[in-house]
Amino acid sequence: MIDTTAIIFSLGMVIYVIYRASLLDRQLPWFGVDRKSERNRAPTRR
Amino acid sequence: MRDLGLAATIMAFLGLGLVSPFILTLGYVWTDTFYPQWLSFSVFQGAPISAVMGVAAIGGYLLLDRRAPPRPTLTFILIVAFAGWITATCSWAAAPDQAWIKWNWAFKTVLFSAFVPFAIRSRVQIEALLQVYLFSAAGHLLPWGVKTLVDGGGYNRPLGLLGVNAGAFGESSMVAATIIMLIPLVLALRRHSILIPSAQARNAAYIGFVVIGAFGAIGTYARTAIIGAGVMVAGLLLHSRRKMLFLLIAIPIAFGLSVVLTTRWMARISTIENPVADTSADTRLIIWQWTLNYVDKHPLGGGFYVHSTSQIAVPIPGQEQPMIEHGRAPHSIYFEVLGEHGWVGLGLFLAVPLSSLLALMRTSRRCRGREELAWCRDLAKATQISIVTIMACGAFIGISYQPTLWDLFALSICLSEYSRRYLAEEARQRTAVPRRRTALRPAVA
Repeated sequence: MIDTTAIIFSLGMVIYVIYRASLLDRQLPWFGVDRKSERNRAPTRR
Repeated sequence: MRDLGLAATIMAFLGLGLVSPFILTLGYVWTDTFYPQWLSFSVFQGAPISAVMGVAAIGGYLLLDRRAPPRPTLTFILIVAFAGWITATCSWAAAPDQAWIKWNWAFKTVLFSAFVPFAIRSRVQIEALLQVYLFSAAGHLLPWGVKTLVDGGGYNRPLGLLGVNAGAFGESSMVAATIIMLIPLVLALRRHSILIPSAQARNAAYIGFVVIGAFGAIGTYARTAIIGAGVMVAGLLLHSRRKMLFLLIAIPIAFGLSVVLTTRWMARISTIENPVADTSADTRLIIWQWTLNYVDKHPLGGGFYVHSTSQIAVPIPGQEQPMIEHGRAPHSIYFEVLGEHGWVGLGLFLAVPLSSLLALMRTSRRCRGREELAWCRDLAKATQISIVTIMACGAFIGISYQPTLWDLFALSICLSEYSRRYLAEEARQRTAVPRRRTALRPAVA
């Protein structure tokens, strides 16, 4: 019972965290600057 | 049911990884920490989930996400050099067959920590790395705390999800060290998390982890717990801005614990002061001496699992004849690395945490007085405390190649590079558009 609860809690939190991270990573600037502006885009090297 | 949960998590990592490739790197960290292949009852039992996640993480980065790579920092160079050296020592290993088996997983852990800063660059990504490690570890650590509250715990009892000596969370001392190492990071996350926006949820989750985790650490009956807790509390006190308040809270807690803890617990912990009174501690000192003698003759080390060639005489209280032990593990990161990779290996191994600590101190200084970088400063300080704590605990446990240790070094590079690039980008904007007022708007990440 304790083990099952711990697994459910752990997996649930991990899924929630990666979902939120995926969402916010696309919305928020990387280095504190506005990525919508071309000038302020994070440095790109390809 | 358990396998359904594991399948959902794996699918979530792979699915979200297609949209945000850094999630695939987190998938590898999760696999390496949570051990889904060992927890599965059927489908994933023994499946190469780690290999799949590793290939996906590196492939995803190379194909989809090579923006803004970090500079090759000193810590990065030292990690790569250490990975190269531990590979080289396999060529003259005293136990070659076993050496290559251990190399197979140790090399991957070390090298992956050098890769992590390439995939983890922004604030969201850094926090996600920490949260995924924390909640993956919490699955293993919280049952120790809850079961200790229920039945009192005990040394070397299988109170976690895995059996005794399985992975990093099966052995009492490793569990205690990991819980204590995580506490400063958890306290920093509680103040600054953006992935869990609700303050109430943060307080419940993180303070709950600290309280239950503390019971778990006590319930292991591991002497490592008392050493780790001492170092961690000293670190928190050193970095605390309200030292008197900290002492006013810490002293009653320490006093209360000394009253509440059982004599059985006190009896085991007291063997720190007199190691000869305890056979396992005494044997440890003898195998350390064997390691020093070995590197005297083999200064380049004897490769992984060199201790399997050891033969030591352990005095048994009340007996004239000592007991002969073969292949005793050193149970210390320092003597483990020294025996396996010699003085060069130990030098590199010690240089990695040292350069990490220096990088974190620089990060902390860089962020001083910057409200938008307060999270980075607090996390840098917490990571310093965690590294010192785990290195102190490591003197008595063999976790040289566990992700517990190497993820912290990776985190130090991520934080250091983030703060450097944030300030460089800000300076660049200031010089590029001096008249534009909106260019330096308050940062949220």
